Amino acid sequence: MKFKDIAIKNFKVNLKKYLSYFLCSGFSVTIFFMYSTILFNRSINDSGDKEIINMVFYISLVVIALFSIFFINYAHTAFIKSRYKEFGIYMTLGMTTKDIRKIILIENLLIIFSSLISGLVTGLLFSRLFQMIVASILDIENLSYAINSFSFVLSISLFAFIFLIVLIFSRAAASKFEIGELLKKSRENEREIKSRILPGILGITVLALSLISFVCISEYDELNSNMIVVVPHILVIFAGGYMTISFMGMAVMCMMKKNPKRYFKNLLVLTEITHKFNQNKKIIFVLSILSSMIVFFVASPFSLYSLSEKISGINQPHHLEFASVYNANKINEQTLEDIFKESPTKLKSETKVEFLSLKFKTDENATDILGAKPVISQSRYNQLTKSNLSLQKGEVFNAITAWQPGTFGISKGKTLSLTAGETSVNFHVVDSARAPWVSSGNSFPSNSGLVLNDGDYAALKEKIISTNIGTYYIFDFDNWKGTGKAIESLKAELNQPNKQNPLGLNESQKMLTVLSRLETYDTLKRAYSMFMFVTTVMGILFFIAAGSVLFFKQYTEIGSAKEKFYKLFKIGITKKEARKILSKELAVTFFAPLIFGSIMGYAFIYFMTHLVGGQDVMTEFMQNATKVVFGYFVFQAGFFLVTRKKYVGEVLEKF
Amino acid sequence: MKVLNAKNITKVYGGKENINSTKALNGVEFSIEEGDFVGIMGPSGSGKTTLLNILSGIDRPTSGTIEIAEKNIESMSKDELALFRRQKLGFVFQEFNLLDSLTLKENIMLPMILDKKDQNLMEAKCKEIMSLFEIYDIGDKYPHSVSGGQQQRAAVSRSLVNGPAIVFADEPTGNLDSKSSNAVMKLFTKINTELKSTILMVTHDAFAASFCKRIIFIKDGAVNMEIVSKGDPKEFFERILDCLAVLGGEKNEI
Repeated sequence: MKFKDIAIKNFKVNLKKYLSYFLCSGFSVTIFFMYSTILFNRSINDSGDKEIINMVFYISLVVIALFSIFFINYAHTAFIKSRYKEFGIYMTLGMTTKDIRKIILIENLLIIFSSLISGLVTGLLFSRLFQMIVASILDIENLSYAINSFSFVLSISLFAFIFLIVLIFSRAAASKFEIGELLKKSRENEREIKSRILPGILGITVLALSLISFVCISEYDELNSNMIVVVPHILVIFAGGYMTISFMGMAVMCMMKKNPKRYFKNLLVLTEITHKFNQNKKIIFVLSILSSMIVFFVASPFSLYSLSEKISGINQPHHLEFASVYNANKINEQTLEDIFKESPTKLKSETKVEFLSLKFKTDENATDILGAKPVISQSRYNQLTKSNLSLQKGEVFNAITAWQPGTFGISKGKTLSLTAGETSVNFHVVDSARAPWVSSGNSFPSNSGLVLNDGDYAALKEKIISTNIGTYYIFDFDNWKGTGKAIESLKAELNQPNKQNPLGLNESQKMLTVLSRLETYDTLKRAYSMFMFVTTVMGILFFIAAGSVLFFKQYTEIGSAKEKFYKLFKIGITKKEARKILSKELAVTFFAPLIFGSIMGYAFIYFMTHLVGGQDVMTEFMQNATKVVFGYFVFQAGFFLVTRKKYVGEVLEKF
Repeated sequence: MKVLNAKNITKVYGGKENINSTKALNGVEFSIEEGDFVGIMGPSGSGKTTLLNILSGIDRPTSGTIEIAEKNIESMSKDELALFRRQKLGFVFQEFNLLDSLTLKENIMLPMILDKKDQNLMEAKCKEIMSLFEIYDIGDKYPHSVSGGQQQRAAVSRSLVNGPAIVFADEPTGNLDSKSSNAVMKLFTKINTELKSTILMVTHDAFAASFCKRIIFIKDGAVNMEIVSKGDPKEFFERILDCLAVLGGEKNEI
């Protein structure tokens, strides 16, 4: 029998241990390969959204690659750890660390090759289905199934690289093996727990305070975008979470000891959980972070997606609008009427607002997209926005409509000069602030609009050329979702006279587009569904990672748990009691990270929503996040039940 | 009064009718009186541990009856057996089997904790027994931070805490050097004489067995012979060795 035979024989005997490592690697390869086939699919590259889709899949691939490094490395480490005792015995019998390294290498090569090949084969088999699903989710038409040799090259080289790294690390670790430690390591998992209340209380206090503070700073624009404030908060939250996980068990135990009756009643469960937390604090911490990521990554796009109707309503308050100015978008009443007559949904209201497009100048050198601002009279402004501005002669109000922060060079108290034809008139800026506008900011693209005293407005109107006197057309319908046809015919109609223009549309004219709730909604929905697709995949990956980590953890603990419960069995514990203890312990390990993670996830969502100015939809956002968290709990519960059945069954085998 | 009465116990592994089945026990029969200290000896593979497991309700016999404290245990359900074990039986195992995550005191209380006994009763009982074995002061320490001897005493305390009808000891000196063995066996003698505990011990160590009052020898799954001590351990030890020689095999091992 040669050395090689020993390694091969080992492989056969330890098949069960290898299986999880093999499955993890194979799974990573499959996922990566399927994604890469999309990235290299020519027919997607030829479709309209090429750039977004490429970016989406590029990012996904990077995330999956990073995930694979973590995941395979974890599986590998767990696998090597489960064999310490075996290696210890080998070394006692006279194997050198070199021999051990050789065994590890041979075994790993076998696993790596088989997982890589089976991963690629599975990926190949499922890639057709996957491409079809992607095409339907992302609304890509004429997607033809294709496999590119680049996918193979990329997958193989990436995983070869990952496996190489893993191997190098494990070889380095193997050369430090000491017999004594190898043999002891499998037994040293139950260490004494010191009875201290303080660190646990401190941990939970730090966690709670940092979370509260984090939530508070979210509401202040100056603080929530300041990295010096935000990053320490996140770090303190993580530190608090880690402390809580490490020390809370002890604190609970200490507090329970004050009531011996309850303490002894729950003694076994308590000590079991506290020890498990103490041994596995790192794993539980990592799981908590993973859970918070799952909640955050899945809940935010899910909320956005389901809120796209509401958000489109906020972004585009009116159902259909456009601005007619600079000879663009000219249309007569009769044509408009004809268009809306054919619309399946009835026109509810129609508003026309006259405005002036005026060039402007300030000391701060303010500019705007079209080099001009829309200007409206005070009476019309107050009427349409239900405000009550009262401006004196020579005064101007600057209503900021852009979503970006800042005043764009027009400050309160400064002077603004407006040019009408040949004359320039100076105005005193009474205020420059975020305020509603008669139309949504983009029908006449600008970051703000100006309001003038009625007298001033009339005087300026006299002086400017007629093409710079514009009209906002604003239409609302019974049902904005049925406006598709009207939008289409309106666009066709508006583009017609421009076509006759031999010079074609100039840059300014091109920017005066027709805006509609329906299109805004479609664009949002499309963007969010893409976003959701990517993050949901990440969420699922994290969920699988978290699940596998839990599974490995339970798996490596089966041996010692079995021994322990057999002792208890001999003393006289009933199966029911043992099952209860195991269930409780398992439930805490499964759900504690989820609870921690959800709390952190909520905090991050709350923060992010504030950061991007989404206070309006906070309630709905949180409700949707709760749906996701609930779904996550349901999934985890299913996972818990399956694991419990298997784990308890195996531990209580002899009962 | 008979504490334990075993009648015609057989244990067959691998199905009754199967050709490949092995008979581990083949009609074992004996009884133990209250206050007795019985050793069960026999060569490796003679069925000692199987017998102990069956007598203590951890394993079930293929046929035969076992009566402990006037209860038929082979007719009990698994859960009834578990309850019976923690209320009526005491156990001392090889390597002591203390749980590392519990303090000595908690380990000792364990059978009563499982039985949801009253807090004060547990404390009192625990104090009584731990004081007797001089480990009361270290009750809050964990098993790995006390000496081997202290662990042994904790294990013996645990087996006695519920006032068992009988204490089962499975190779209690299995992994010990002669000095520690001596200490453990003296403990057993102490509980037997002072507390009048009934003890059934399985061992292959003739020295440990010489502390018993009576030895039952098992061979090929049946009682082969039985000897009773006349009070002199040395003389009893010699006789045990002779018996082992007759049984075959084990004399060289000592």
